[in-house]
Amino acid sequence: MTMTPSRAALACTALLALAATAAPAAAQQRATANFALTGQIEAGTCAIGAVNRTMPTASASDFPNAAATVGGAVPSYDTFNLALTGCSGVTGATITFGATADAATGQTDAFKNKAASNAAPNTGVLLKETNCTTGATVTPGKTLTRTFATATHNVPLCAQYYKLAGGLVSKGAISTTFTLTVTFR
Amino acid sequence: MRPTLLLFALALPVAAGAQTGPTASVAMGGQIEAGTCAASSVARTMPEVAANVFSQNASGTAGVPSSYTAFALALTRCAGVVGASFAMGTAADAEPTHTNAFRNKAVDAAPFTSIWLKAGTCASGTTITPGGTISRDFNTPEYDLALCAQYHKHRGGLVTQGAISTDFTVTITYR
Repeated sequence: MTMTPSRAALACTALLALAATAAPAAAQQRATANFALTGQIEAGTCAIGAVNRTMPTASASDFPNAAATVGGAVPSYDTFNLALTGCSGVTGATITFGATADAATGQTDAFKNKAASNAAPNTGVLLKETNCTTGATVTPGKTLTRTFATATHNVPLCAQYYKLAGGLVSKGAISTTFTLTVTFR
Repeated sequence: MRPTLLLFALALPVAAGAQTGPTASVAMGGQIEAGTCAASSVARTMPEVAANVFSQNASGTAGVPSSYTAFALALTRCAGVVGASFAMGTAADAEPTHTNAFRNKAVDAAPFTSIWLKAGTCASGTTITPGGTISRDFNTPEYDLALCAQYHKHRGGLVTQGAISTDFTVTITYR
């Protein structure tokens, strides 16, 4: 086969080019390194302060006046925020409110009146989300889940004195305590 | 010389995706005061009697059976109440010469008269002295404090025509 001069020149050029490309590789060895860095970043945390509320004084007359009837005392409504602050790297939290052992006897919806002396009979503390009238009840041991990505997050709550079944309410002290356990995401 | 392949694999400790933060304590509480009842005022018109039904002895002291007026101090709508104490006026409401009886405060008062108040019945009840306190236990929605009043003659002279009335304030403390 006869090659025209022009095509021969093109082919030569191409070969030269290839040679020029291959030549540096042979002349200079380069080391490559792959980095695979794996790990896990834990969720951040928020600061959560202890809650200590002195609720309004109510009258025994504010409760239902039938031994078997349960109900809250409107004058005792106490709205407050559970404040999560200094949150960094947090996208949410689950908050567990005490344990079922914190519930009042015979009334698992309410927290037990743990007053050491002079406890008002047949009483407990009912905790609700947001407000005391329409909020969902936060039963002892219940876990609430909240999603947030802000430095501060408030969980609005409302507590009220609550009459248990089994007798009438009369004068006395009322108090409850429990532990919040917060898991951050 | 063949290219050297270096592989760095740095594994960091793997932790759970969620992190439990510090726990916090919650303490809530307060005070429940005693309940209350509704107490209405008492206004009683006692029977008219003649002056001669009183003791005819100037130094005598006695009540008048024909004036016996039984009534009740009615407490209603009691809730959260297990009892009450009743302070029946004050010592200033007493007849100065006879502190067991309530003073006749009428403008045209029948002389030497006062009002004797008893808990229960006039015949066998316990005298309620002005300023005295009586206590009752109850846990019912309504409670009647039974009382009985009668005209009374205190010493110093004879009773003659006139008006007789007294008034005082009952201070009720609930339990």
